[in-house]
Amino acid sequence: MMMRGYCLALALALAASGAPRPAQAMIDMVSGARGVAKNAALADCNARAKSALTAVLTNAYEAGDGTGQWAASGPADANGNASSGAAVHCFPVGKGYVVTLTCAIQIPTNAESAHDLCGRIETAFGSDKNGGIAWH
Amino acid sequence: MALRFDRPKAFVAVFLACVVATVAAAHSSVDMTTGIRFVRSTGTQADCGAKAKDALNAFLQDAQESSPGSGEWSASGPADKLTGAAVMHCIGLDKGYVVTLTCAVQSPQSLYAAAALCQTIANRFAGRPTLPLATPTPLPSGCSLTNLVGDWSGSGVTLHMTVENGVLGGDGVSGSWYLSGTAATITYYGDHTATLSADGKHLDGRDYHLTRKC
Repeated sequence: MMMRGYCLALALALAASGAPRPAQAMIDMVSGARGVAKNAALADCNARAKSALTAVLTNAYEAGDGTGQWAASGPADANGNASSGAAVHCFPVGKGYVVTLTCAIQIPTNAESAHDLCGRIETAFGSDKNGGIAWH
Repeated sequence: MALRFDRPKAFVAVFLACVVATVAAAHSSVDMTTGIRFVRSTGTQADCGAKAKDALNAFLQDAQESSPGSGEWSASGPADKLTGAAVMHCIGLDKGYVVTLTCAVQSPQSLYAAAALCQTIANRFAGRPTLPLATPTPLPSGCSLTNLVGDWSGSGVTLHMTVENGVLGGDGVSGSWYLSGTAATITYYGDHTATLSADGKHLDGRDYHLTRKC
């Protein structure tokens, strides 16, 4: 009885206050950092891309064998719905390669921003200290 | 030892219980895909950027370069929902440039898949013919008098009512509907009663005046 009273009081309070509704869900998509490796094989980029995406998200896959286009999503909720995704593009340039990151998240479902997600993938991919890759 | 009843804490607990019981996040997910990659042996990164901006603006809105000269272009849309977005990277080469494309949409809110968005943008970039992306289509059924299934709008809300008695709002909140004769109950931010019109197209109640698309 007391619980019902509280619920009623709460409902009236919310109605009277015009409580704000949740923000509309939308896509937040950003272009992440671009990495350049001047002396490295494209296979190195592919391996790093898969490893980084797997470390941060799930189900990393290459769009087609040898394309150097990697994508992953996650984390999945109980219904298998993923609230974020990322793509890594590896492209050979000269004796090395260029790698680009793109991230997308669903807001407000996901607490992390697309920018922060790309930052984690960049860290997982590697940098100057362990791979001779310069990020811009 | 007697238990003490802490009213402020109880109020907070009831508040959370009420919210959990009446509001649930809608099921949706991010559909993301890498699009076609173009390699051009002629042209500059600036040429690529101009074409990327045009292609993005053709199907999304407000294409912008992340910083001048970066070659990283992004856009999102449609303007009223922002359920889709795309990013294009233009990378200058010694001769020509390469451009990559990545697209994401919120599923199922988006009317088209990420792959369709990327394909259409890629076609535009390449100067190939493009087809319009999917637009809302009317429900196949008419305005049924036995259920509330369909898309309703009015009173400042847009609600999608499903065959499973679910109510999905555009703000990511879900609820439920119930119909007995012409008396409808919509549970969405609380219970709201309304009466279904004789043609099955209108719901009129104290809180909502809705019109069904059919």
